[in-house]
Amino acid sequence: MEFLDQLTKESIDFQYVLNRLNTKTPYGKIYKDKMRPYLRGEEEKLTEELKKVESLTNHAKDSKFMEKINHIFHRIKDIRTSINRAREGGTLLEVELFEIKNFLFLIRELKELLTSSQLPSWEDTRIEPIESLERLLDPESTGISTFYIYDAYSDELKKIREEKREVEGEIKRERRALRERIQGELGIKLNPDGSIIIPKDRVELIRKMEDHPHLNYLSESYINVKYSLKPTDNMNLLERKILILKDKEEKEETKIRQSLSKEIGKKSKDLYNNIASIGKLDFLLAKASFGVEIDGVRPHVVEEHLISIVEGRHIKVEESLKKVGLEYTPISIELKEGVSCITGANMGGKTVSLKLVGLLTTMAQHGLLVPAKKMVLGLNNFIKASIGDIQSTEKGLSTFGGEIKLIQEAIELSDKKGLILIDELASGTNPEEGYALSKAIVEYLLEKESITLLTTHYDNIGNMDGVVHLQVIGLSHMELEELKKQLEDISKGELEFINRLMDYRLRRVDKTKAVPKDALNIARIMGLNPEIIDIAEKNLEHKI
Amino acid sequence: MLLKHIQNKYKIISIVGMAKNSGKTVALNHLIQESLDEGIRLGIISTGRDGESLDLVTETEKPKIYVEEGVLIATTTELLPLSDATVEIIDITDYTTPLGEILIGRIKDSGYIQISGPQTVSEIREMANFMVSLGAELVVIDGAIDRKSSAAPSITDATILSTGAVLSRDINRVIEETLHIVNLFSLSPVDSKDRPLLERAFAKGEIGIVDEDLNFHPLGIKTALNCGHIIGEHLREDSKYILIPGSLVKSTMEGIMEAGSRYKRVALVVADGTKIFIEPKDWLRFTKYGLKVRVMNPIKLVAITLNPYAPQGYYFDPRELLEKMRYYIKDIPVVDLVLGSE
Repeated sequence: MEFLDQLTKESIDFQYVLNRLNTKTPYGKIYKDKMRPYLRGEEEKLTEELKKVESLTNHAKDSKFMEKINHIFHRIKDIRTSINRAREGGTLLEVELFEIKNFLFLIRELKELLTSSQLPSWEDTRIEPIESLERLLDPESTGISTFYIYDAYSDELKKIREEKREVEGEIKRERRALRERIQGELGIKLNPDGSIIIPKDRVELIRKMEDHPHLNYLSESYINVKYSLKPTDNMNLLERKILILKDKEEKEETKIRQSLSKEIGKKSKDLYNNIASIGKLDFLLAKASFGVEIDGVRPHVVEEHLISIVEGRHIKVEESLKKVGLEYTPISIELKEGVSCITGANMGGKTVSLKLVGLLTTMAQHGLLVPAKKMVLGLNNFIKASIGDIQSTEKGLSTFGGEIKLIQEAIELSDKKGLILIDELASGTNPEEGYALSKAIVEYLLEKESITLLTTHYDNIGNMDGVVHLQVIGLSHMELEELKKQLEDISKGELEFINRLMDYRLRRVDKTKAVPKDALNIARIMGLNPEIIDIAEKNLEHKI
Repeated sequence: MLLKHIQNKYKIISIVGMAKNSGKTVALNHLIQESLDEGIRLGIISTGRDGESLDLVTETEKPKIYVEEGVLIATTTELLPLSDATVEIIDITDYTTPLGEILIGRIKDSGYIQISGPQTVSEIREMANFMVSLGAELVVIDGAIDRKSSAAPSITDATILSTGAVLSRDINRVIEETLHIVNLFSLSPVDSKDRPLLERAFAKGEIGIVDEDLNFHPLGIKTALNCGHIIGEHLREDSKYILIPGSLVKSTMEGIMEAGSRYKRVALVVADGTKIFIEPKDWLRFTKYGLKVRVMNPIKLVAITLNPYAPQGYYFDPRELLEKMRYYIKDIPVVDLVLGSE
């Protein structure tokens, strides 16, 4: 059984939440990608995770601390391939040795930061610097994270390199002497690479150069001749020596790399422990930072299967309202197993309330803080939503067909203790049959062990025995005359107007309460021809 | 011969070639040698080869240079193992090339090394600054051969231009084309008081018109190519600048001029002189008609190097080329590194 199918995930905007969860290291990302919900029976584990996140929020609010730790996190690279190769007996390249050294220095830096800033620590987020490897990759104790095959690795290497430098120096000295001698003898100036071009009209000079034992003819044109310095026999000998030394050096370097790789391979477990700790810590901090951003609280997880939200906010809707300068009204709601239904005005936020319940529940079960004053939650084994336009052109289903398919899927799961969210139950068909169908579905779900929340326009669903009826307060607190007066000032646009007058909060009503009739008023605000609204009102009076 | 034009004046310099085989590598090696002789702490960056697959296959195309102890270089993780020199890895950057990630290293033991570096202007600048922070007294950027992708001059303190016989068998043509590039590189910058606004508009990457009151009106066209008449038709009495964030070509200029005579009062603005792709003849004609072009980032040309030899086998009399070039270019030093004369 899938906790959250793709359609539900999209319709409650959980992807939006995931996108705002910013891990900084490749390892944190792995944990984020593997993130899964806590199901019934895992209450204690979830509470433990949530408490960890909550305990990190103080640090997440501390921008100085976050800047410091992110500076470390940003430099952490994925070195698992190199570690695995070392463990399996491969020889690491210099670049890989550098990366591992860098990693070792970074975990030391991280450890120091965590200690000095007193970040809460747990068994699985412990950072343990590996001193033996640090010493291995910093044999000259430079304390800086750069790397090359140091002379200190072997006397042999040191000897080869010294000899190489000596021979090179000797060549240079001899070359310089030769150059100066020729320049003096012939009164010419050689280029830095030892070449020179002479115009052909300097016949005497060219003759001298041709005869010179230490100049080589290179090429000529109709105008010039090009010569270059000819190395002495000793210089040639020394050059050969250098080649041999280079070969020796490379072999010695490979030997050293082999032994370093072997030592790193032996410590692969310690390296991996640190990698796992960094990943978890990064992920926990991402959760805590997000919790701070959305002003979240830790949900209380209980055994009993229920959902209680006090002043919850759907953060994506809240954000888009904010962008156009509107305010989001927090919603409180209490749900238990069985069926609850929301009725009320068009544009009264019914669908958003449905999404809110789905989103906050999903967030809580993924170990995230939730945007609310308070939330109490009994865990669900699944969440199934039928919200929005679910036409599936691919499968050739109409809106109604798509809805029925989803509802059937929910019905099959309904005795498995989950959360079912249905928007505008059976509204896509004729009212008579739609009502009959809705009533039957509600009756069926009433007896099941899932929490079902639905929105509907069918008056009588809310009046059914056992159904908890919640109503959007809506425009009902206003007299029509007052509304009409207010309508004169609609300068800031209809949406602003509705947002200002609409009371999006839910209230529990008893079965005698009629479903409020706000549709005509909303139509009025949205600017529908007043003549039509007049006729509609008359129609209502005559019950046509 | 090159160093004296740079030393103690500029920290980050670029070398660009008019074409392949115009002697850019000679100039680079010459400058390296001079710096080493003077004991200057050097940084060397070679810009990416515009990602051409040919260069990736024939690794011989990559410049192999001899570097001495202490020199800072940018190369890639895959080229490093191919080098003779012992390199201390200082940092491996997040920038990747087809030859691996770019790394910054310091030479511990001299030898030959293959270098390849960043591809974008901002990456080049970041790495050059990083080298300066590591103690480099002079950072030399080996620009791409193809001028189209060589934006390096606009972000370096100074630029050396390499030109030579490879351009044409006709010595006058070589001089003509070189003069043209020198001319384009020397275009004057926009007024400093207008710069902040123009910079913001440039950052959007949109073609548009700026009026006297410095209001930017984007034209909603993505490329200036074949859109000259649209630009021209949008010119008004109070238009001051035409912003062209991409390349400037002949057809755009023609289109603007055909749309009326208002172009005479405005200045076209491009990022820098390397963004202009107009033949010398056309350029002179446009200038005569009164079209003005200004740049955002002026290029400081400090020296021009000559290569009188062409790989096709022909050559000019080096002294003749040098004398002629010096006759036409008086305010910028012209040197022939091959001939070696001052």
